[in-house]
Amino acid sequence: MAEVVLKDVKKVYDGKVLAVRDVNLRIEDGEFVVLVGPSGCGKSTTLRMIAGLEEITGGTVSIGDRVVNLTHPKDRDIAMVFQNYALYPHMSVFKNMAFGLTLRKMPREEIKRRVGDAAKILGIEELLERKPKQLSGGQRQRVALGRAIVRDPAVFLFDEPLSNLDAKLRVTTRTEIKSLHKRLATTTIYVTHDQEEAMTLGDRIVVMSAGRGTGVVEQVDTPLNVFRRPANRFVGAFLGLPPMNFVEGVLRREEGGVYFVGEADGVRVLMPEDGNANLEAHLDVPVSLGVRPQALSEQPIGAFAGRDNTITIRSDIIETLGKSIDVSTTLPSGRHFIARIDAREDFPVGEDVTLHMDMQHVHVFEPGEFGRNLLHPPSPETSPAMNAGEELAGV
Amino acid sequence: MSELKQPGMKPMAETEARARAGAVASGSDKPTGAGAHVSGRHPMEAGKGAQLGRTIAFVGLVVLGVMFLVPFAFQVLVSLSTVADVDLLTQLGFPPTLKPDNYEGVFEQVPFAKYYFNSLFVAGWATLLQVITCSMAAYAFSRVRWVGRDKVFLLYLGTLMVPGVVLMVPNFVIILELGMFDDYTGLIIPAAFSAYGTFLLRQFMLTIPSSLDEAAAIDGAGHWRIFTQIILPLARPGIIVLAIFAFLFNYNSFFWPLILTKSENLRVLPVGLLQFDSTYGSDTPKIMAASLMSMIVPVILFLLLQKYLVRGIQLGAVKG
Amino acid sequence: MIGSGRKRLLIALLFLLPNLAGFLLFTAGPVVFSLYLSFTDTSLTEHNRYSDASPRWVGLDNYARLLWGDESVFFWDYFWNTVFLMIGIPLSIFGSLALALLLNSKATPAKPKSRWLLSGVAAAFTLIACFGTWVLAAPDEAARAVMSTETGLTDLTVYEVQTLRRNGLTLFVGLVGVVVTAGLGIGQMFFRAAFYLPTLLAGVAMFLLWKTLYRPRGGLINAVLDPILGAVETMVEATPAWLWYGLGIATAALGVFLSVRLTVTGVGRLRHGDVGPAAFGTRVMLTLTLLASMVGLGVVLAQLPAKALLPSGYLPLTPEQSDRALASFEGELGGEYDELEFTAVRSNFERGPAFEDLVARLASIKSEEATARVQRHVAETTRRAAEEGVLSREEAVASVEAFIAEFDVASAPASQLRELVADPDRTPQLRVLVDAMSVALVRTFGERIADVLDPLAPADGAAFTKAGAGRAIDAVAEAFAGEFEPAAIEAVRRELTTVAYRDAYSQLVSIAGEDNEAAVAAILTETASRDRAGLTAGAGLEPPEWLISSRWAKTALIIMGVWLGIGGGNMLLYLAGLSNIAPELYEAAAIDGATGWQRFIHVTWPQLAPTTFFIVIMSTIGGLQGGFEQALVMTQGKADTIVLTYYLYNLAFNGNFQLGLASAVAWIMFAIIFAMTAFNFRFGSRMTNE
Repeated sequence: MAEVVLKDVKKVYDGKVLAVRDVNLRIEDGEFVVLVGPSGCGKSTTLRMIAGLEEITGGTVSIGDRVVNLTHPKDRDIAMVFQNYALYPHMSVFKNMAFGLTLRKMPREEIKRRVGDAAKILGIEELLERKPKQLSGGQRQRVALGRAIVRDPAVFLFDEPLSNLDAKLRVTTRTEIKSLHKRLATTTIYVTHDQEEAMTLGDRIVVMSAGRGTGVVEQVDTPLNVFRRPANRFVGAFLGLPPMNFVEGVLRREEGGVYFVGEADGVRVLMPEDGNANLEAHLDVPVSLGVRPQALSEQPIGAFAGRDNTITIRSDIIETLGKSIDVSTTLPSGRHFIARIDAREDFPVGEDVTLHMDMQHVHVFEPGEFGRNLLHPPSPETSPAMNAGEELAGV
Repeated sequence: MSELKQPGMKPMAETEARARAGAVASGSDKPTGAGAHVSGRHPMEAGKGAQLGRTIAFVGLVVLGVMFLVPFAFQVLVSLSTVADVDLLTQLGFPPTLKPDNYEGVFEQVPFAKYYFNSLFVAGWATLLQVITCSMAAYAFSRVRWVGRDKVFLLYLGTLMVPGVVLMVPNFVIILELGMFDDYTGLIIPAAFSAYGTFLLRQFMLTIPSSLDEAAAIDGAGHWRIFTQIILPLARPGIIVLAIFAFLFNYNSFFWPLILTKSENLRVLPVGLLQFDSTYGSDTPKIMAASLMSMIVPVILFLLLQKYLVRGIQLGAVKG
Repeated sequence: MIGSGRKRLLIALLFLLPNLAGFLLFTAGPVVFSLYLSFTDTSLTEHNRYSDASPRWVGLDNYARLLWGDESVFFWDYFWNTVFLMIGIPLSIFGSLALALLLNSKATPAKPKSRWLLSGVAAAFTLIACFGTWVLAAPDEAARAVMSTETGLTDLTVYEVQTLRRNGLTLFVGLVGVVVTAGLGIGQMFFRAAFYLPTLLAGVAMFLLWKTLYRPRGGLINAVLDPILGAVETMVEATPAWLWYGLGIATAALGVFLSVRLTVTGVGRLRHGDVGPAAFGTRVMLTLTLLASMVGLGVVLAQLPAKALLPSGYLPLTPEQSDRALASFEGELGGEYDELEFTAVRSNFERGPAFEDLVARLASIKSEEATARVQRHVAETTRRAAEEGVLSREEAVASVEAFIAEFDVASAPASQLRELVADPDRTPQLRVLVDAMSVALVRTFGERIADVLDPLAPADGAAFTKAGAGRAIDAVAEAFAGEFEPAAIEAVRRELTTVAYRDAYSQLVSIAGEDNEAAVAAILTETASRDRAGLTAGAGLEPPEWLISSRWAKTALIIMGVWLGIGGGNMLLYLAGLSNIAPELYEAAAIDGATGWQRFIHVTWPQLAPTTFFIVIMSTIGGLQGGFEQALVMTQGKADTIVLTYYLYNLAFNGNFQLGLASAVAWIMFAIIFAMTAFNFRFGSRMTNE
């Protein structure tokens, strides 16, 4: 079995710098898991610890049912695809792919067969005799993939493999990777800083952040869940393009229910009744309202349509995107606000417009970058931050 | 290899964190460049194997270091012996009689101070002139567009390929004809120019963005001012490298002074040492003392400017 | 840029002028001029401002003379010398790579704290070690009065020898300690600086240093080689000769076997397309090197018994044996040497000690005993230990008189002793007194020996012959039977009445020439006495004479060249190259399962290929032009060390100032360099692209 389990993994450099801590993950056999987060959040470090390229300061990493903390990378039954491809420049494509097998003394016929199969899958059969420097970026990446495939490992590790490709190539290669995974069904751990990649590729995604002084895991769940129920403000802001809007204010109980009131920006929104008990506990203290741009519409939308959940903004700048338009504005408090609504002609510019919110995509967060989601909290297993009774301030 | 040097989209902070944290740390036997790994229970070097390897490497370094330094230590001991005892030194390990006035004796037997002065004088002037002419020429080759620029530069490059032997004889004749034979000018003037130096500085100057020149021109600066106030300061590392190379080369230069000078008071250190050896060949201690004294200047220069020198060699070759 | 085209041209020329002038005058111009000269017969002795003659155009005449004409014998000889000296280049390159790898291996501690700590500890250790050496190797006080018996050191007392050795040893320990401390404290940069030092100081100063190092008798190199060779000799002596023959054959056979196997594997891989032709070419070159080395090693091993058999070469030839050897020598090689020199050698063989020397030598056998007896006497009479302080004059006089009486000291030494203690103003130290008394005893004894020898001495004060000395010693031994230890007498007999095998060998070879070495060895073999029958005799394993020997001089220059160059620019280039290798390649290789060695072969070495390529080209260009300064300073061209550049120098500046011919040499060299560079380029870029 090729499941990968990380238990309380932590990484300290030089006895002083804590790069990553408290990483607990269980990746099932055949799963495609993406580690995503901004620079410095420790995702590459974690991947490299799984690969054996970094020492594991604390905790354990297991592949299959073996703890591999001290096992040499070559004995962990893994294959890795690097951001810079790391192809041996003086060897042909064939030899690059065959290298690991040759070192393991596999019979020549077997090697030929495996390389041929992998080349066929990736469509690089005509390139086998060429050298890396004669290939384009996309082709090189495929060779790197091929090198990983021929090893038939228990786990694939990808370290930002698409970062060096241009935008279009990135998208097509992404799809190829996904279909490859479908075909081979090997456990895959993939690191990227691009949230779009994460959302499209992963069976589950692991959102990591660096803001609390070191790298930690914020949330682990399927892309949809993480998107819909971000554990905290950071996750909410990280996923989704354009990013989530935030309005500062307080929760007040008024007749009719619990309202979010942002006085500075003139915002007053009624919270759904089945709102979390958390809301009750946070009355009259500062909170942030998170509104996804896509959650706004000129018409009432969503489950709580028409129930006092509008916001009025002035449409300062309009950007047309085909089927939708992005309405950007600066709120009186100085914050930016973007709404993505269906396009229509004659949308007024520079005038006040009133937009309705879909309350299912509106969240209330505790203050601070890592303020927990009070309105739609995720299930506790998916977010260690939710569980830990620790200090969440660290603003 | 360019593929591997593509500016990585790898987030700066992670690489930075690794580099910051693991400046060197005892890593694997093979270099790992930036972002090295911490010692200890690293899976790539788990086990006694790698730790042992590193210890052996250190021992090897020490052994080699001692091997390289022992001859110098021997030289010091010889320079402090009497002539009669020199042959016994290897059996005894230490001079029976210490004779530090060997050093004084060198000055008495040959005009050593003059030799020293000559070497420093010639090397100093040659370096200064070379820096001036080469930087000016490099400016012309890199910051001014003119007809035939590249062709002339190619000509310069071409002569770099010509082996020095070819120039020995004709230069001798030319110096002779110009009346610079056996004179300081004969030693300094030919050394005041160097195709290699021009090449080095030109490559260096090419890395300075031309937008600086353009901005200065718009501000009203002429070429000379641009050269002195913008380019020269920015090219300082390259100039320092050239200066070091030029000085060392001229200080150690043996062959040209050998054929271009005759009289004793024009002798430079290498030639002087050779003369000393042929005349007083049996007085080994004094010869060793003289050699040691002549080594002082390069050693001091090296200790102070090591990193420029190292960088210069690597620069020169990469561009080559 | 700024200004019009013409203005720019003007400005550029202004900037360029001094440099360009120099360029045309001293570089571009001379190139053309040199080419012109090579087609003329210019010679400064003929064509100068005082003569009316002008140089003639001779076309390719100079070239013809050099390549196959009357100068060709020299030219090709020096060409071969130049090429031979280039053997050191691959060694130097690999050495630089090894040093770079070593420096890069992160063997030195990195964290500042651990550096301080470790180097502090090392410094402390060094001090302790030095102190310990100083104390433990302290000289033996009792040896103050004993003269050393080691060759060359007979002017010093054993005490002095020990003191000096202790000093030297402490210095050495200190040096090692400093290196370790600096290495730990400063790290890689220290070692890099140490390795770079020879390159930095390149030039006459270094050559002079190495001249001293290469001295056959007092130089450091032979001082290190001597014991090693001595150890090998002892080993060979102690083991049967067939062992070495066998070992030699086995090594050579192993070499052949491995080479064949490597070639076969290589061919197999080539055919299967696993590797390209360039890699195969490398394999072939490495295989040939391996084959040559192992067969060479095998030959050396097999010949060891022959060469090393007479361990110290001190096996003595008696006068009779010397006579026979000389007679055979005359018979077989007569006419191949100078008669006068032969006469000199003969008299060397025959000449023994002078009368006084024989007496002194025999008497000195007793010196230790004498000293001991004197010390006892003094202790008894003065009730003081022999080393303590100063006697009063009365005590001294009394002791001396008692001594003279008891030991029946001869008159001359006795009066000397009395004089010693007579001076009222100076009373001698006890130690000095003891020494003087011992000497007196020895001299007394010597007088008795002289009495025995007197009738046997040659007439009119001539020295004994070796044969005569032998007979004299026999007489003395008989007369003083029981008073001499047999071993001591034997040592004296050996020393004074025989020719050492080694000395005989070298003296005969020096007059017969190195070509006749084997014949001389054979002659001496037949006449020398041996304990091991059936084996041929050699001269012992002697360290070579390096710069004096035409066989070893070039090798000496090669070795020095490697030492001088190995830590220099090439090493720095490799260091830069190593730091440019992307770490991911190593990581990928590690994941693929490569061991350290495999990582070197598949990642490091190929990535360094462009650097290696550059280094090989520059080294070739430099090597073909080099060797001049070394040869000039160290051998003045003797011992067959003239290289092409030296030849050029001789032609142009020594002798007839034949500038035309010299220029032709330069251009031929240019052509060779060009061809080799082009070849390297072609061959090399195919390799780097593989």
